[in-house]
Amino acid sequence: MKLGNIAKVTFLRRIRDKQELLTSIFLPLLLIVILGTALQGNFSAGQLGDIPVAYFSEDSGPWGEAFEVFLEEEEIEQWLRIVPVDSYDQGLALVDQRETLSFIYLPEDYSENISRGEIGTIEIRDAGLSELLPSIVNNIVRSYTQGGNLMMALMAMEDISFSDMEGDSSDPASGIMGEGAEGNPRDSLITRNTLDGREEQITGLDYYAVTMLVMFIMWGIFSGAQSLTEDLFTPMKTRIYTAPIGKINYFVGKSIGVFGTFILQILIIIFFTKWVYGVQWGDSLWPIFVISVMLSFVAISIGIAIGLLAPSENTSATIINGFVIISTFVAGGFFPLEMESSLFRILRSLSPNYHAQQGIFNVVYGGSAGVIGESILRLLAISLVFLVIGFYQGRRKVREDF
Amino acid sequence: MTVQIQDLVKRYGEDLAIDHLSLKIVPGEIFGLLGPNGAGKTTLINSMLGLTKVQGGEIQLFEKNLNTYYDQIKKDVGVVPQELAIYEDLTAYENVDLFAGLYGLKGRDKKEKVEEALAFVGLSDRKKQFPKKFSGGMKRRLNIAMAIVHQPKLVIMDEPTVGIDPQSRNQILESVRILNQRGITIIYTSHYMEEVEGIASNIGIMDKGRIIALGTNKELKELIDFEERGSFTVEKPGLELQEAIEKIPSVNNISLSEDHLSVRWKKGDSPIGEIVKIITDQGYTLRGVTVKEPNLEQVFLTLTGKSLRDG
Repeated sequence: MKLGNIAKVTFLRRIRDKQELLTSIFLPLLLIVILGTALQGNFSAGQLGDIPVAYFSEDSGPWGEAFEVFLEEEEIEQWLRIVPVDSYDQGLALVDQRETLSFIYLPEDYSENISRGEIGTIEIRDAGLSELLPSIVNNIVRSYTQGGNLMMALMAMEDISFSDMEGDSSDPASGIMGEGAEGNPRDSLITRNTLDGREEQITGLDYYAVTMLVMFIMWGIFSGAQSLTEDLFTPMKTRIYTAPIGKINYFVGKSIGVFGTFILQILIIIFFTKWVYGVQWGDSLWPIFVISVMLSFVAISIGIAIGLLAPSENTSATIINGFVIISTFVAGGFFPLEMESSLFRILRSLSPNYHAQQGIFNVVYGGSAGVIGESILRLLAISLVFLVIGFYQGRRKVREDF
Repeated sequence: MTVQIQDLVKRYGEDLAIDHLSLKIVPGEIFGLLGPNGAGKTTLINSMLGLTKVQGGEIQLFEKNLNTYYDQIKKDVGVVPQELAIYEDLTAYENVDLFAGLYGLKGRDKKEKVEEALAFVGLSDRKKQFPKKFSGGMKRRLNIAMAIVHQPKLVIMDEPTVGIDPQSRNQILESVRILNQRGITIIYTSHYMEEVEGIASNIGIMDKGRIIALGTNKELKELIDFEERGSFTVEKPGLELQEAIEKIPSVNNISLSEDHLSVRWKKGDSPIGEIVKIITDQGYTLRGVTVKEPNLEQVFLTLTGKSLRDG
């Protein structure tokens, strides 16, 4: 009950703060439009395309050949620069040396497995240089496998083989791409699923909707830290400390209130950009919401830790400003960024923005569930580290106060 | 006893902020705590509130050891901090309601007590307004409402009338009296001697971490009853005048200012005639003589050697 009182009041005070509303909701909505429109050129195939991808296939079956035909499609070539390699190890080496961004590998039994009705696996390795570009590679491969799955389903239903298909029976890709079997009613089941389709093509708005959402959740550290620790720097401290509520309960109540405003901010930004700007947030908003909530935890825990470690509110603000700007920059929040220095890679691995963006881009552009889960776990780990720091520093500060 | 402090010691590094202080405050009294800045008043109050660790001694509130029964004791204490401790972005009602909730009040009982506290400080008709629109006096009254909403047995008020107009000050002093009439014990610190003189039933004067005088207003004045004092209005009195007056055997102390001489002498041995003669003999024009009754300010000055407001 006491905790609820603190949470309610914290929430009320934050949503009444016009400056806070402006910076946490209206500013990101404005920046998404400005950056998304102004930097749209960065998201055309001409700019993002030419992604170097090593490719090695040991499969000589029809599905492997179909995949190669698929990669040679004009629309795909706009995006990917395929670098054929002679062995699996060579492909991995190119990725390790950052000469290519990804490596696509088709194993020997790929076609055979599919023909037997088993799972045919295409292996993709990426260099971890970016969250956006590998997601494009993943998405392209996914569009092939989805098309293939549909064909297989269709063939299974009708009990037919490739040779029974109209069009170029030696080329399953023609069916996958919806170009063969003219007039065949089955074609309506095989949809073109490439980056050319509006639903999959990334725009500046799509990119900045994600990065601005992430950045402004992180900016919430500042106001969050202020909300959480403001009473420690004001006469209200005396009232709070002499009231019959434990310090931990007090901070938990405050955190819930701050967290409530983060949720509101996330919902408004996502739904507004989805309905008004037409931003694509993928098929399901839940994973994005979960990642955003995890990032909010991170922001609150960093806010508590910095707020308690800093000797004054001004110092706290300076540290937070620096932290958010660097974290956003290295994650490519201001513009897509590729750097190969080890310092950059270390900084980026420490950036909560990067892990959140990686998770969200994978949700929106059909990346692997493993990467999404990994992003959430990394955010959880970051928040736990800062919560532990905040907890110990908080205990020390309470003891030292007065 | 509402408060019983025994041999309290608090150090900040090498500095002794509270020096083996002992004090008793009985239920239902208004205890005035006076002392210059740095005397240790705030440290003493913070110690009573459990906000600072002490190095020695024992504090009991309501006959219970503060350290052992801290959580239980907190519920019966209200604090009016010296600086305003209110949220400007919550309405008056929401401010009081928050602390009513923190002190465990719920439902209808909470609502009634919040309304009651606001009515008590005269803010009922402003309850939906934000304090940023309030005058200094109204903010001070809200500061009090937040401290008394849970109806504590002891209210500690640390300079609750700083920086407000006389009308608001009178209103606050009146509310302190009414609270006291309801049986609430009050510890009241102030820089305004006349406030403490007017409302406190018992007064403690602190200096250098110790209570150097303790008693009723009358008892404290009797402490300096061995002296009488007078003020002689003279334009630009010189050192030769001071030296001449100091030679009078009954004079204990003399001080000069721009336009008058302040003189203290042994009770019943008035040197006024001799002083008037010296002044006129040295060619000064005497414009007036005032003999002063002892007041708390003089008690304070005599005991601490400092004026309270000068700290």
